[in-house]
Amino acid sequence: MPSDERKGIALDAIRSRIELFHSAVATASDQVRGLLSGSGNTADDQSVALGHFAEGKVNVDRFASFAPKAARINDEAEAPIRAAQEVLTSLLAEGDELFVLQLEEGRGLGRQVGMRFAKIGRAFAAARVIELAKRGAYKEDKHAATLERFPFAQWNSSERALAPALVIELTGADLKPAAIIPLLDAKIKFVFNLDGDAPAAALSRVVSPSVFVQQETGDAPLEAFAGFDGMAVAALLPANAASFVHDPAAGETSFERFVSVAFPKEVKKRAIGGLSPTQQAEDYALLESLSVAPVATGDAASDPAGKLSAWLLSQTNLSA
Amino acid sequence: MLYHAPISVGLDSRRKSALVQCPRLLEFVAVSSMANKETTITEVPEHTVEIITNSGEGAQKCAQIFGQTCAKMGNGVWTVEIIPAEIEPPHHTVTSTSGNIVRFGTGLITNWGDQSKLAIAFNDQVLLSRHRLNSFDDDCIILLESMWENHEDEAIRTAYAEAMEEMSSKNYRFFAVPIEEETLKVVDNPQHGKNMFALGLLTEIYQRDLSIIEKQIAHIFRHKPAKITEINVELVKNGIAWARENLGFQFKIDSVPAEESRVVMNGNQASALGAIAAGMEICAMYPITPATSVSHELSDIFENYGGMVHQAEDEIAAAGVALGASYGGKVALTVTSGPGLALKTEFLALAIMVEIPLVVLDVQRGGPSTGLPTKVEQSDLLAALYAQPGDAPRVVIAPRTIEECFHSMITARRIAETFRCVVIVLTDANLASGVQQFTRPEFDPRWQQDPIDFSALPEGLRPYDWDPETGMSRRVIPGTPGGQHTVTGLAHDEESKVSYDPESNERGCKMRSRKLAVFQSTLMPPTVFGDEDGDLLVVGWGSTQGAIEEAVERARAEGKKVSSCQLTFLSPLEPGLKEIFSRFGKVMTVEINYSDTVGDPYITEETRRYGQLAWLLRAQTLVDIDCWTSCPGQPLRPQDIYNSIVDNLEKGVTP
Amino acid sequence: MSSIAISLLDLEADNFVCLEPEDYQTREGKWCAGCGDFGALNAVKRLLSSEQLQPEKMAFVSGIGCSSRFPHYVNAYGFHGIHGRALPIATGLKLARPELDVFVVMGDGDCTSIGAGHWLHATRYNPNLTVLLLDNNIYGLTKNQTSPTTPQGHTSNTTPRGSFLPALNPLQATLGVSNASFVAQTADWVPAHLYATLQAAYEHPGFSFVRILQRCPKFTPDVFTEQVKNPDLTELLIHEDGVNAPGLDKLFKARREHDPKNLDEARALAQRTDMLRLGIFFRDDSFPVYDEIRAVSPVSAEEKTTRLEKEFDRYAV
Repeated sequence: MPSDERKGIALDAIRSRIELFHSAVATASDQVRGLLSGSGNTADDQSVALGHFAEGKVNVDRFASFAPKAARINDEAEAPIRAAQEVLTSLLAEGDELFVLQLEEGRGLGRQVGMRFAKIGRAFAAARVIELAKRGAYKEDKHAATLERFPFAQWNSSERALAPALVIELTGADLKPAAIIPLLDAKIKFVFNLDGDAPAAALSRVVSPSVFVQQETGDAPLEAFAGFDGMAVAALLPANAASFVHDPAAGETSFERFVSVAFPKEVKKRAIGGLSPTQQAEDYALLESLSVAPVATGDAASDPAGKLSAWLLSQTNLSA
Repeated sequence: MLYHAPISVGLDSRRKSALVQCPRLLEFVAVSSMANKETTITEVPEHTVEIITNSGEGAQKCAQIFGQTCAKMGNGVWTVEIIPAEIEPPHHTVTSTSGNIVRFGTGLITNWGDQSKLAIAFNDQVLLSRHRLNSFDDDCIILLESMWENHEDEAIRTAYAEAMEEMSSKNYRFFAVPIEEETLKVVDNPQHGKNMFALGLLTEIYQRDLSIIEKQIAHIFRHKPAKITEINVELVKNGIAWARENLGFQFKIDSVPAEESRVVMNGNQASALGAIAAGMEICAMYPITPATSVSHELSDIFENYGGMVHQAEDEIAAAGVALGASYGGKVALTVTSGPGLALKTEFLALAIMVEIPLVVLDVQRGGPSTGLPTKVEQSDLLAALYAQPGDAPRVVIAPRTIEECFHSMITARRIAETFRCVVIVLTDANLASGVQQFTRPEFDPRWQQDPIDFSALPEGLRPYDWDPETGMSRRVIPGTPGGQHTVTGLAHDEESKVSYDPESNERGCKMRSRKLAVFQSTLMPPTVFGDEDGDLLVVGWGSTQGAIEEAVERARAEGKKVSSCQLTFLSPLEPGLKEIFSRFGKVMTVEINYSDTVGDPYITEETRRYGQLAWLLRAQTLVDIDCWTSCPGQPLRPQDIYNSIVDNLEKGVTP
Repeated sequence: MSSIAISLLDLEADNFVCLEPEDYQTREGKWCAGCGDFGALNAVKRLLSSEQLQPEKMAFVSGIGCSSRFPHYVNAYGFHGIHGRALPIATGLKLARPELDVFVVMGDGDCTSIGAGHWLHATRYNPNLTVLLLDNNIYGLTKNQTSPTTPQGHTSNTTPRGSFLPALNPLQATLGVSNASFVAQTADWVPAHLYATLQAAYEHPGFSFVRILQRCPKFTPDVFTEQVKNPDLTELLIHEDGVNAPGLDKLFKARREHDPKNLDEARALAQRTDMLRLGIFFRDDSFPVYDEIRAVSPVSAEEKTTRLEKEFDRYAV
């Protein structure tokens, strides 16, 4: 599948998160402008707001004297609020690209995601700066820097609940999903869009009871992922990977939560990035142990679990 | 551009007289004899062209491209659509007429002008319908499809002959053009192509820049295969070649390219885009001609701007949804035309009573009742001002140009919110479908500026905390902590408590009315077009500005002491009117609505019913204002207004 | 103005205060003694308290009539509008402010007569509103005129020799509308059922239409006398997805298992006149909800300005 098509699928899957974040930022941005222009506190603002139709017909200064006046901010507050407003505007101007991270090869997934979150977090910092400035509690030495970088660790729970999702474009060599586990909280979502080879059970290590995890090898939209109201991770992988959906809402035990699992017929026996065939087999075994219900009796070769076990046995030489 | 022939004034007079001597069929200039004739070029300051077809034959597209091209070349342009009331009336009849009028010239064009100077007609019947409306200049040049005269169907031949007979009362100069035959050389279905051939004829006659036309065609068909563009361009080129070979005349209209960047659109598009630029977020509407295309424009793009169009179950509900949304703090608009305005009456009164801002766009058409759905009138004025039982003060404004259709939405919103009131914006079918270019607006985010004060409510603030001086009070929207109250259409006090006592009711009425007086105190007196004093002042409002000022200019060029004044604020009225009126011997309104004529059966000075603006101004100023009104279902023509000016000057001074 | 969506500036949590039913009432209802509107008001207060709704985050919209005084007595934002037209206002408000809980209170003349067109279409739009039809079978405020739901033969000032036509059945009418998603009936003389029905209506995502049968003490005191006296004339519709109010088992012996998903049966039951039926006739929360499908994400003024520039390029000459 062409990568821009996959990027489209990935973005669609996080669209509602993007919109929620965007709408909160856009709304805040408009409110701040209102605060700064005092909704017509100056005759100039009022004259502009009244539009050109009024030119020569309305005495704008007089009109302004009747216009509703919002609480005026004091002069000390104005500079930090303007700086915060610029942050909001600049983040809005980035559009969808703010939520797409093209991973630079070999520079570490966790580090780069952390940096992007610190950038997105500037919106939260801006909101805080505005509140602080309004209350006269803004301290330049303490708060100015947060407008440049506001890392995930400093986000509070309601900020995390509003946190957007990220599409991460990367090669299989960089897909070490354990790196994002510390960033999973509230309703944060990640979609990995992989280029080239990928470990077949890449996401098995992020499966945990409350995280929605999906590996997808086809071109189906990630609807269940998009609709899940909580932490979620998905990966768009090449055809030779496993595909599965782990839905925390589907059951108590891990194998109940795996609502669909499909294993590939064969897996290439070679290292991907630093991940050796043995490590890949371990991931695979982990996925099997989580997703397949224990079978008490019956023909081992005819049920899925049995097939998987048989397959795993046939792969033992991988570790050689 | 190169002109190979010497410029002369007027067409070859010999040919003209020959035409006059040969009425009807003979007046056709034989095509063959015209071939390769030397071309006469006539220089004119402006021209008005009509393209007349059956509906569905693409006249709009032809005129749209032609008008755009003229605008891009730096001409002033005004385009008017000729729209049949039916979607697809039977072809080749006088009721099937669909088309466009394009008036363009060297300077600014502000209205559709007087009769057309040149017409292209695809058949005799649609041409006849325009003739009957007196649409053509006496020596109008008419390029008429040649296939009907000797058509195999006898009924068509007979109808054709009769039509030509009827039109022989005028000195039209006919040219037979094989429009369909020439079109068939390029396409199989002439219905989709004749318009482009006709565009080619116009391109040659007016020496339009073909490269601009090619770009326009490519733009219109950008979603179609490239082949479609090629075919259409080929048709235009064939039209050019045919005209060059056969017509032997051209007109030269100088143009002055604009320095600032410009846009060209119709009034409804301008209103829709104005609504967006004004930060409106919901447009609730019900389909009604000629207002609906505002919502078409919005439906297409509004969601990109965080807005939505709600098509309600009826006109009443459209007003209700807009009011409910505005109550919730959204900037809301409802769009309608006369019959719809009538239905919204009760909700507008409620909005006024509860002091929730609401903008209503009324694109006026002919009335009363269903009236003239597609045609212009200015007869909603008094309904817009007074339709509600009870005292229901509101603001009524009227854009005068297509540009003002855009900008008035921004101002309307701001007034509505500042004064917690209803603002009715009155445009009309003339502005709605007229196309004109204007200076491209420079958008300002402050147009969208939130009017709502989101700071915490002061302790003890009441829902209608009227400032006793101004009647103004802070708006409290649902969701604001501590602001809970119930608004009611019943008489109420400052607490919004239902209150029937005499004092509360009088106070409420006074406060709602006071806001209007306060707003009026911010208005400036209207400007007078022409001298500040004189024998006659013509007063108009809204879309008639261009035609009135053109007529006044003509009269003034002849030394007549006439001025005009075009009102934009009808409620409250602009200040200083009485003083302005006192500087003129006579004051007369010019309006597109009905008024009695003294001297008609039963009509005397005492029984006479005045035009609506005259009625309003007489009541407000106690000046004995006369009126000249007309309700032909079409925009006023400068010449008709000029004639009424001359008549009134002759009649002498009334006061 | 996009400031009514969630804003970054509003993220701080509100202090939690426990509100009792009485905290939701502003003043005594000015209805006649014995009016069914009191019962509806009490049930609503209980509901608001049990849901702990913040007074400023909800709105009650009404039309005109005795029951339309309702918003004046609730500690919430209220809109006491014009006759028959509560639903367009409520729909507009909900479109503007989906985060608010919007309740609509109408009388029988208000909803089923002068506002009938809006009723039909609001049902189809299916906005997320909780809609109470306080149906006492008569025009009360204008002093005793026949309404569409007045029983045939009942005398009033406009039909002194008895009303001419069979009464309109609001359940039947609502169930006939495409996209109707919640239709229930309850009665003012069964407070537990009334409360449980409102609770279900409030929880339903979409247009939840509850007809509350009640008597006007002045003009229709006897319309339900038989049913009030003899519970056997009333059949409760019960189901695990229906209304299950505690303590009603002993009182009402006639009980019918009815799956509220079964529209055909709902329509058949609504049509039958053999008994009075209380409960949820129909509900389906999978139907499109207007304010959800039409939700638009706010766009900042700067973004709009940029986009308008592009829009105007289309018209540039």
